[in-house]
Amino acid sequence: MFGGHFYHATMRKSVAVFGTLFNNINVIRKAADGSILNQVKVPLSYGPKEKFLARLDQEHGRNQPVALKLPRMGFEITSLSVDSNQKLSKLNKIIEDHGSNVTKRKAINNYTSYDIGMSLYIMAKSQDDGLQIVEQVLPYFTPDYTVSIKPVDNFDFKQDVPIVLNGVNIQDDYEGDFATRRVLIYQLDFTMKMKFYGPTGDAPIIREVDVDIIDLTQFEEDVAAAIEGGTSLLNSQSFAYTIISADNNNYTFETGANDREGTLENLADPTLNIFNGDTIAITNSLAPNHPLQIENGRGDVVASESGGTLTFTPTTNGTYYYQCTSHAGMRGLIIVTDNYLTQAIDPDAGPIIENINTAVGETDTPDNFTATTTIKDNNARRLSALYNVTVVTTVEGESENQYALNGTNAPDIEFISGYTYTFDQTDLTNVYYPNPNGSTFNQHPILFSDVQEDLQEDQSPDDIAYDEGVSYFIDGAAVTATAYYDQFNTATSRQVQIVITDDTPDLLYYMCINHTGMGGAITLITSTAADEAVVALEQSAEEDGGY
Amino acid sequence: MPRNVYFSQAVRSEQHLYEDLVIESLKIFGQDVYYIPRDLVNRDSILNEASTSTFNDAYLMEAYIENVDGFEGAGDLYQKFGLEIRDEASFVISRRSWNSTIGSYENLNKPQEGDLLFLPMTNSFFEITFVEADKPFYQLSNLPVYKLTCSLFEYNDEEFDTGIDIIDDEIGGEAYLTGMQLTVTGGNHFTQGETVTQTLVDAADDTPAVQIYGTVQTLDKTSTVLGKIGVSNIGVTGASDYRQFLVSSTNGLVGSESGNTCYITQIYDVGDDDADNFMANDGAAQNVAFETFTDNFLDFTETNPFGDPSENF
Repeated sequence: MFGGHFYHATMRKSVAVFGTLFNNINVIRKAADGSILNQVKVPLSYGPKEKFLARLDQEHGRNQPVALKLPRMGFEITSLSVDSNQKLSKLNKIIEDHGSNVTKRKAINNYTSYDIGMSLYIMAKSQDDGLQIVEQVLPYFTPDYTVSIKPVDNFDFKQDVPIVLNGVNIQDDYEGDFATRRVLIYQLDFTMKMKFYGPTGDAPIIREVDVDIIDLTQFEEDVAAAIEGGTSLLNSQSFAYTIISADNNNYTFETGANDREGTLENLADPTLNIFNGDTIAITNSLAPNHPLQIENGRGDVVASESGGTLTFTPTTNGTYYYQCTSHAGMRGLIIVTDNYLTQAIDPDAGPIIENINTAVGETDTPDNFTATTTIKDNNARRLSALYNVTVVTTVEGESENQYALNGTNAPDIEFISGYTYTFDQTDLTNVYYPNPNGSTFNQHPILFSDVQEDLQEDQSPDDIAYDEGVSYFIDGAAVTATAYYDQFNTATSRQVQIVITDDTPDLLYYMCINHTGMGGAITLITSTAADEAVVALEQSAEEDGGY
Repeated sequence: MPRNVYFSQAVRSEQHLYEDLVIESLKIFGQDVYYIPRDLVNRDSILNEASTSTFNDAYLMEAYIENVDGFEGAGDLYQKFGLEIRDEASFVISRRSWNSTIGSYENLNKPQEGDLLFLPMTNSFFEITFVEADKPFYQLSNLPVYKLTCSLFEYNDEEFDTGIDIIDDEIGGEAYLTGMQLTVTGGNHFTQGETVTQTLVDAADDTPAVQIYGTVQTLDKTSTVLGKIGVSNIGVTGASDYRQFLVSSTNGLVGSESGNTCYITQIYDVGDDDADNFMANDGAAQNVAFETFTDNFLDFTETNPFGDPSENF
């Protein structure tokens, strides 16, 4: 199951590291007068050894003339146990750069901690020698001494290896008969805290990240333009380009071409920004020279020129290239992203498109936008809506008239607290209908009231009018209600605006001050309900392909 | 009741005859050995041990090895300190021979535990661990022999200057060596066995010169201008702390016998990746091997704030 092969020589390195700590210890012997008679660097060896090698190393092909040379040190591994105190997360990985290769990274997925028991033995002929060695070791271990190693070849990360001195034993067999030699051995027991590493490998790296960032200002402009100019920005578009010259290094595009970001400014190998689903059509006027093709980020050809033209409709976001098949340098970027105008917008994160539901009755498709849309930032949540008010005949052939809001006859509408609604009566049917425009006046000024019953003949508008937050505009200038009625037929533009707050009555009515039966009810949605309405609206928009 | 005075075992002529026969037997059946008395240079009066000894004399005498089937003891062992040879032997020597050969010169009454026997037959150094002075027990009311119980010597880098080449060379092959390269002037190399001295600090008005010295154990005359030596038994005069030879083109190394002066250009140390020149006499030492191997992965790019042994104070 584990398979493969890897070996980082961890124990071998542990032995060498441990040996290095003690490989430069000296012992000196003094005369009675304090002068130094002898200085010895203490030999050190790893205890376990092939016996024949020991014979080869020490006897040099002759009989060893002495029993042993002292002082000397030896050490050995005494134990290997899991270090539960250094429990590591199983998700930890070691990742490093791969040198010059930026397409991948070196990785080690598995490693674990172990305690390696080490014992250092010091054998000396005299206590003074042994104690000199011991004393040159002990002060560094408090009780640990830490060295840093690079535990895995070809990796640069470092590992601290604490080496803990657990205790010292002294063996001094000085008693007994004379024929028995005295043996003086100091044993120092250590624990090395090592880590064992698993196989090394290559980890792929994230080479391409698609980030959709909305430029709020641009977004507002785009949405406004989309709604004002119809739905062209919201739908897929075609962009046509003509290559008019080339110099083996660059294609030069004809001036005036657009992409989703506007008119191309740089015409030499320009970067083309389009939305997923858009179509680009490139005409190569130089054909058959400099035939071009389109490649994706992996170098696969996804479209090729045919008969001097090339069309490409991406269905996947990403970075593409148009590329001359003859000249490597003739190459430009095509950046394909989602049409962010069609994306659902998080009400907590992005801007709100206002008065989406001003297309009364049908609120959720772009086709229903007939009102001017204003964008506000999300914090303000200030929405405004504009109703184009016309006056129409209720039933074909009869004389009863009604207001039509954005083309819908006398709808019952919903207002949301915090929103501003504008009823634009500029249309001349408000002044003349059903009489032909320019003939006899038959005026239909709007009145807001919290009374359902229309204005009676014995009432003045003030008797039933709801005027909190209501403003009247004649030719763009704010006027009183009375002035609005007085100047209604002579004005060029006529608007009534109402600002809805939490204090606005839950139910209002809009009506004509002169005629009955023309208006409808206005229901106020509370702020919570309004939020839900907005969310519902957005969800609806998303399901339908957006606004 | 006392013994019968008309019969005496202690007849001097018989004792001499007996002793002559013993000596003759030892000379016929024994081996030549060198008796090497120990000179105690310094004795630790606290820890009760001879912290330094030297061996400066060697006396050739006959000795009978009691062991007939080889040395006693545990024999050749491998243990964590390397190959250890625990040979033991009992040597029988004549009292009269020892007294006339050694005792009178060394002003000793009997062989001493701690003295050495060098057995040229096997090129082995034995240390006397026990002197049995009364076996056989007063057979003619005298004790003609010593029986020396010996075990193979544990060499502690003691200095040997016996004047017997076979001994000095043999032990010199075991000495702890410091290898160094020299520049030589006009082929005037040092001679093997001489003491070389380098003055580290010149004498001042009230302080003696600090000098470091050692014995040339190995000598490699690379050319007339280059040489390589291995120096053992390095000592210091004028200072009581650890000193090392210096690489210097001005402080020369002066030979005591040859009178030649050479200059040290390199001193082999543990980091020099050259096991042939560092601890050259100790095939088991891995000091250089550890240092060299760990150079590949021991990381010293960050100093250890909790006690770096290499830190300069």
